[in-house]
Amino acid sequence: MEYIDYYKILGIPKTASKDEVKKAYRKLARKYHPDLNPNDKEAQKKFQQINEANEVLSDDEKRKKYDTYGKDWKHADAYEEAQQQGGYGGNTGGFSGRQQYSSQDFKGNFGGGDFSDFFNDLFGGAHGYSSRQRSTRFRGQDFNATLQLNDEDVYTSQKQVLTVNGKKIRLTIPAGVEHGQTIKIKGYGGEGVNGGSKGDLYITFDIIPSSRFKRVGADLYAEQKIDLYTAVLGGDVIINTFNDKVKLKVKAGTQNGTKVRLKGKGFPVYKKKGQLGDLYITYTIEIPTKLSAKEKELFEELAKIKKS
Amino acid sequence: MKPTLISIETISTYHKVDEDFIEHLKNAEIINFIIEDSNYYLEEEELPHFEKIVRMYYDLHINMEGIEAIQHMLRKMESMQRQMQQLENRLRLYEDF
Repeated sequence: MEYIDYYKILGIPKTASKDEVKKAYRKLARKYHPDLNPNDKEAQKKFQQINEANEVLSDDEKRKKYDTYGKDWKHADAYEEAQQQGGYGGNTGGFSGRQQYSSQDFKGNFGGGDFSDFFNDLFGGAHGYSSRQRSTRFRGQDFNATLQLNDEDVYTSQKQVLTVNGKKIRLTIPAGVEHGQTIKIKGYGGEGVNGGSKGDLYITFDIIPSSRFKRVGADLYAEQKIDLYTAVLGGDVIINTFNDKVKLKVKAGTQNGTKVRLKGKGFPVYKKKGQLGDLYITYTIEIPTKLSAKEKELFEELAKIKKS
Repeated sequence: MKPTLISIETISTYHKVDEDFIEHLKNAEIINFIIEDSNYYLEEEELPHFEKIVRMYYDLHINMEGIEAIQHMLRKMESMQRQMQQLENRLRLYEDF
C-alpha cells in the first residue's frame, strides 16, 4: 500500500485554500465524471481518486491528520495514542458542519465510496459522513461484466448460471448474440442510495469466432475447395454448413473465387426465432500439381486444341 | 406491453428536484415526457437518463445549455462506438481469410 499524494491528484499546492480545493475538485469532477465518460474505466478510476482526495482535503480534520503524518501515515495511530497519553490538550474541533459542496454529492451512482486502502487505514473506512444536503435517491451502480463464449455456444439459445458479486443469476442467452453485443439484466446492479432502486447488470459478449466460418451478423462465410475437373465439367460437392451437410451442384465452367449463397443456412438471427442468415461459399479451385505422364499428355493435348 | 409511467410529481418528490428544473427539461426537450390527460409522465426506461441529468445539473453544476450539448455529444459518441464495434466485427472476417 503506497502513500497517495492527494494534492497532486487535485493539482493544487499544499497551501491551497478550501475554495481552491473545491474549485480544483469541481473542475476535475466535470472532466472525469462517469456520466460524461461512459464505458471508460480509466475515467472512473480517476474519478474515484479525485473523490477520495476531495474527501480528505475538504474536511479540516482529515486534512490536518493527512498533513501532519503525510508519508509517515502508517504510524499515525501510534503517534496519536502517545500524544493522548501525554495529555494532549483536547479536541481539535471535530467536524465543522457540512460543507456546501461535499464529494458525497458525486457518490450516488458510481461507487465513489470505494476508497483506497491508504484512505481506509488512515481514516478508518469511508463511513461517518454527514448526510447529503439534497439527499437525492439514486439508483444503484450499473455493473458491467464480460462473458466469453464461442460461435458454437450461441448457435442455439442456452441457459447459463452466472455468479456476479456473489449472486447467482440464471440467464437465457438468445441464439445469435453477436461479438461486442451487450444485454441488460435489470436490477442486478449495485444497491440504490437513499432508498433508490437497484442498478442494472450489463453483460457484454466476447464471442470467439469459429475456425470453420466467418460470421458477420447472421451471415456466415466459408471457403470450399473444388477440384479442377469439377470446376470445368461441373458436378456435386458436399458443403459443411454450421451444423449440417448439404449437397451442392457446381456449374460447369465455375471460376476460382465464385461465390454462392445458401439461403437460410447461416446463423440464427438474434431474437427472431426460426430465422437464419445466409451462408456464402467461395470456391477455391485446386490446380493439380503432381501430374502423371498420361495426365500431362492429355493436358498438352487440350492445350493444343485450345491454341489451334 | 404498455410502458410503466411515473408521474412528474412522484419524480420531483423522490429525487428532490424543483419544478423549475422539470420545466427546463420540458422546454429544452432533453427528456421525452409523455402527456396523458394534461399530466406529464416519464417512462420508467427513461429514469436512468433522467437521473444522469439530475447529477449533471445539481452535482456538476452544468447548466441546461451545457447538458443539451453534452447529450448531443454523448449520443454521437455512442453511435460512433457502435459503428466501431460493427467495423471491428467486419474486420475480423478478413483477418484470417
